Amino acid sequence: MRSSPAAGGPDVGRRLTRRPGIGAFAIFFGPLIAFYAVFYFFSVGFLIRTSFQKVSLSFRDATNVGLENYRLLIDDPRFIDAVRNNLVFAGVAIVAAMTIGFFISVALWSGVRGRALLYAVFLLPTLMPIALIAAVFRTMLESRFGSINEFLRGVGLDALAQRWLIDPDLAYGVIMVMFVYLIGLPILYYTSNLSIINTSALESAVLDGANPLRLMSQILFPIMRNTHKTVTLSTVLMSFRAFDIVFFSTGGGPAGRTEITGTYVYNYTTSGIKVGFGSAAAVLVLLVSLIVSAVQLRIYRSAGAQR
Amino acid sequence: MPSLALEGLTKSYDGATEAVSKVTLTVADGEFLVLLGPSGCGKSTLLRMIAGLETVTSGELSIDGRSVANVHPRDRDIAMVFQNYALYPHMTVRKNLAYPLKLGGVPKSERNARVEQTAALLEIDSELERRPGSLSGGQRQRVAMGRALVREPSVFLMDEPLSNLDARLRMQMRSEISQIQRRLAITTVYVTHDQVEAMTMADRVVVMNKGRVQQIGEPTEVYEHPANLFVAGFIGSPPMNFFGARCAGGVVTVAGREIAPAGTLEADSAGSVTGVEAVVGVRPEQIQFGAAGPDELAMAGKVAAVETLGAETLCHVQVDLPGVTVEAGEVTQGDAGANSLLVRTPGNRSDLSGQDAELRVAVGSLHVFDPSTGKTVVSRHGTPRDEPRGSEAENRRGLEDSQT
Ligand SMILES: Nc1ncnc2c1ncn2[C@@H]1O[C@H](COP(=O)(O)OP(=O)(O)OP(=O)(O)O)[C@@H](O)[C@H]1O
Ligand SMILES: [Mg+2]
Repeated sequence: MRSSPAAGGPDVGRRLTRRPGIGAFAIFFGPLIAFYAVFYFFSVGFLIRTSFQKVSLSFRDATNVGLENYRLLIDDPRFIDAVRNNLVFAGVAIVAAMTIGFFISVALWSGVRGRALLYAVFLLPTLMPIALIAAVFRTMLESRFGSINEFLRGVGLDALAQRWLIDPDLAYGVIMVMFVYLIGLPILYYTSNLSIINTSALESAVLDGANPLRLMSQILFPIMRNTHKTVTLSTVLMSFRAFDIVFFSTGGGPAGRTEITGTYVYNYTTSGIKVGFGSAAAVLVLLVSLIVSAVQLRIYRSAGAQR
Repeated sequence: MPSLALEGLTKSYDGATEAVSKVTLTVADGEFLVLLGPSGCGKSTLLRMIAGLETVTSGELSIDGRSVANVHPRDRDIAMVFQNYALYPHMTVRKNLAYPLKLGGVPKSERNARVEQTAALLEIDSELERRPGSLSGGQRQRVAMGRALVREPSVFLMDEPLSNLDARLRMQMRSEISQIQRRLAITTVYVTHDQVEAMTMADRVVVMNKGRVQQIGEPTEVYEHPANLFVAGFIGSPPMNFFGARCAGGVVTVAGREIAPAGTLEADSAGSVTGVEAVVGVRPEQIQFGAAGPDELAMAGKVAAVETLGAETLCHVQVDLPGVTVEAGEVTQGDAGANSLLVRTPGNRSDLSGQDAELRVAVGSLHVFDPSTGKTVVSRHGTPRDEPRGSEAENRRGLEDSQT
């Protein structure tokens, strides 16, 4: 290859980024690690210990039951459903973020009118307590006096005025919509990536003959793969912790239809009698979300290795 | 027929200042035109207007005789190479090259053939399956060129394509780009702020400053007959020497010696703020050591400093001529007292350091400029120019040339 002079580049870079000494590492990260270690060991250790016990909230008179809690858990269809619901809601939220969220971000970035207003509309829910949003949704969707149904009846669309939170399937849909509603964070990620993107690749594509649709799907979308990664991971993790969305709207009901792991664990640990069982559930949820994240990272890494 | 014609092309980003101002020029079919100027002079803006990436504030733009004012960039049949290469990071080199063809609806087999052909031309055929991230700067540069060339556009635009490469590679790519351009006879507009690139690659150079065309001409013409102080000072390295001269009775005199008829000069310069009557310019290589002959101007001085460059030596010689300060084509300071001339002489002359020296300059190699307008009054070879060689006159000539 004729361009050998430039080949020195990466080598030089590697030499400059040599690992710092172990001493410096200890000084900078030591206190942090100590703090985290105490926190993790205590909380996770406590959780794991109780997960093998039959114990109430008073934490007295604990009896060791071995893997019994876990066995019961895996046999409980409500728990399996909760995990499945979690994954479904996470999936819906991810798809929404990568389509609607991505599209909105590009629109905001490319300078549509009323940009500041739109930003506020999408970002505000992210800044508000989810509990509040969920409560507002619940009030609005109340079947007799909720503002949504009143409005629908007011304009003569009585047929559309549904029992939103009472019909299990509708309630399920409502929770999905709420997950999608919290699209602000992905939009924030996308727009911040867009603001630093190198636009000449896009201009190049325009000159190459790409129409806006192709520009978005064939150039812009793939270029932003790192942000997709951030968005997916953060959305998955968010969904496993999105206790408040469900708890303050449907409370996991009707009849456990919208139960997610968060509400499931909550119900058992706070009802005061089956704390060990709840702990086992929490440990399993932790495992599941770790596995999901690990699989995701793995997929991204192997996709990254190809380039 | 000109391949590309610009008529009074103007761009203003903010409505007040003009980044590009009334640019009129034509590029002949297969010509290599270089836009040269200091940073911020509007070169990129002009190029981007041609590409359609920037809207035109006023003026006309046509490609192959067709006005493209309302033509979308993708329908202008132009390709552009960007300074940072602008490759598609998620596609292999092969896919990068094929992308414009794919969008153009070229069938797959032909697409492949053309990609292979272009890759061979640019010697990147062994990198086809790699992604841009793993290529060296020089290879990326070639891929960017390849992607632009592969669809055989009618106009090829390049915006400082070599500025991210190291000096050696730049030199090599310079000649390669020239060769490829000649071989394919593709109409090219090339932006640079590097005058070496301009001088070595261009068929014609467009020198720009502050959004305006200063001069259009072949490299040697721009070098030998700069149209004004700006071009004279910008082109050439080391730069041209300037000093003040008197202008009385219709004659320009330096150190008591008449050197040229003043032409239009006297009338204009009366109101000059700096008090300089005429500015004389001479290139460092036109000054020689030794006693002056009949057609030469004699100057006595002292060699203050010497820079030896191996094959040649640059001498800073203090002479008793009125100094003038010229910045970006304008005389900013008048009689600055003692003056230092830069003399470029072959061989190693470190022996001259600190010596008294006699200098001689052929009168015919002196340029005379009007200090108030900056225009050239007398150019090298002693020919007073009867028409101002500013943009408009030159452009008119360019138009006629290419129409015949
Ligand atoms: N998008 C923009 N908005 C506002 N002003 C701009 C924009 N792009 C360029 N300008 C201004 O227009 C002028 C010309 O800029 P341009 O980029 O064309 O210069 P250039 O000759 O290409 O310079 P360089 O050699 O540094 O690339 C500059 O004063 C610049 O500040
Ligand atoms: Mg530029």
